Amino acid sequence: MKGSFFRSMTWLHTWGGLLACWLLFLVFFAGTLSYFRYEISWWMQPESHHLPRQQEQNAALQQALARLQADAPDSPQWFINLPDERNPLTRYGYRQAPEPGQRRGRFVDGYLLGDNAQQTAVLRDTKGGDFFYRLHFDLHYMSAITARWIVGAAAMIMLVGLVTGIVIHRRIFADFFTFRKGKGARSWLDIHNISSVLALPYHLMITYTGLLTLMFLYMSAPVDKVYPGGRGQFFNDQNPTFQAVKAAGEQRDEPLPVQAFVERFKADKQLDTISRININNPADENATVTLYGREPGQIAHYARSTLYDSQGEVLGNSREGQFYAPEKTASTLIALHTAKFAPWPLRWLFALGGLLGCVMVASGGVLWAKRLEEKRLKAAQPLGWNLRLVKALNIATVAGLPLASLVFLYLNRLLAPDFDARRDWEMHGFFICYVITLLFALYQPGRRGWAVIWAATAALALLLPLLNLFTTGHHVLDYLSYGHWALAGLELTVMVLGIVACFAARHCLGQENSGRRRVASTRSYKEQPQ
Amino acid sequence: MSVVSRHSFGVLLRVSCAALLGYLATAETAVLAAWILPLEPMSAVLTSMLLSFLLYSGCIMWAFHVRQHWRALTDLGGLWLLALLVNNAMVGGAG
Repeated sequence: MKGSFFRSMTWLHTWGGLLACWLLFLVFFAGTLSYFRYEISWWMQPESHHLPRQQEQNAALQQALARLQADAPDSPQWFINLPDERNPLTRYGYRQAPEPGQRRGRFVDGYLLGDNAQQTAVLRDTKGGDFFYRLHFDLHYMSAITARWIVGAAAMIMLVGLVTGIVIHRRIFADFFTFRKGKGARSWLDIHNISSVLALPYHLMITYTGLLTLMFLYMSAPVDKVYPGGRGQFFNDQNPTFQAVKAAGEQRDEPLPVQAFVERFKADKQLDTISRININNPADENATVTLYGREPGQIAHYARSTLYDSQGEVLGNSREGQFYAPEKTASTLIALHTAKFAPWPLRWLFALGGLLGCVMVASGGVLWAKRLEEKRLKAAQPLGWNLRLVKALNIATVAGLPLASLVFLYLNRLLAPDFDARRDWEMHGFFICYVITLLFALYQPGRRGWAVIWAATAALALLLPLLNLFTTGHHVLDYLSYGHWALAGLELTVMVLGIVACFAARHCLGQENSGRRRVASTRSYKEQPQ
Repeated sequence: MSVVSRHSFGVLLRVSCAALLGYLATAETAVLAAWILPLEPMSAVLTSMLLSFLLYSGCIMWAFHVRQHWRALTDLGGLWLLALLVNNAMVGGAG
């Protein structure tokens, strides 16, 4: 628009980026934490930390079925999630019959207690790691669909930002190794470039595949208009186990032979274990059972599954043998986004990519503020409310979101385990902390503001293991000696990040003086000729 | 100078064209692609949906690249109308 292609793309990159950067930081940040969703959930339910890992799948299955039969024989839907490497406990649940005015009943779930069939584990109510997972595309305090459109728009800006970023970056290989320290905006540009270029394949992948995970919402026109029968038929054809079978309204006498189904399923689908069971209308003549299993070593994002009726007749089978190439492509791309397949080293590499994404977005926002500030200082103009707002949002988002996440973890330990609304208040606490941080940053938008928030983050992070020790009696050495690597890993990682935040705080404080000096020298330079 | 200058009006035009017309043009072109790709319906639909996001990015960049503000309107609007016409003609022809 402003003359050359290069300049118009720079304009688009700068302003699109500024508009979306805080939301994008939130998405990158919460999305990165989602790689450790189950581990965070596990840490947030300390009552389960001493429970033995359930080993025998068939026994667990029988226990869960007995539990469901006792608790909710007339429920319209049961499900059982069997333990795997990342989820130590068997989770079972059912949907209550809908109350008048409700379309669907409420979900109730629980966990089996290790090897004891009679008791269930009473775990504190928390959203756990799912909070961050949902936050990164459903946001909060608004309808999920609205949130997904907003996040989708931000993701499109991110995609355009990446492409325009590549286009305007003329020295992509030279800048790979360029970092000029202590040069104001120049240094921030270098940080922006390094974090973008180092993990560029990751950034492109995660943004594009993120859009694909919701493509049936974002770009539904082709499937709605071109596919015979529209979207509903498409899903039915793609996965024939998605069939609704109406209840007959007649009680069934004998229990469902689930164990026999499981054996058949494992033989038919060549699996050693199953991952999940869904039973619809378990007490009805027309009960259906869906079994799911995951083939190890497979990246693509689909489970092998079969839908059985109560007689064991197969109603539908997942079509993994007959996938079309674009189906395989789509499910592999989506799997790259969710990283469910990723073993630990790769998972950490993905998390590192996500972290670099955070740095990329954050440094972009800081760079914008720095440039404007230097420009206005040079021209001896007042700094202005818009600059203050941008700087405050930078502080509240970049340093404030880690702080808010720590507050979320702290509330998990500090709120009484039997407090009714504890699940909600953990989340309210997260947002209240964010708002307080933002107000503080508006009042103190300079380096001191950064330093205070980083210091608070560091303090909470470094004290987290102590909090856990005093509220639950568990500590890192405990976890290590039990072989609970995920729990120990969470606390150690938070402590390492706390040390990083410490350095960040010191850096910001240390620069406060030099920054002032630089401002002073610019001013005196300006004033000299007069 | 008024608050809404000629330039900022132009920018506003480009932004709305990129977001809305760009989306409409992309969706309509994706439908067209799904019709004419010589594949099974499921493959054709998925292929065009997978590629649509790249086209959308291109449309957005185009809206900011063109020299005059109004070109964003005419170019993306043109693509949308063209795809719409062809789609209607094809559906009319088939059924």
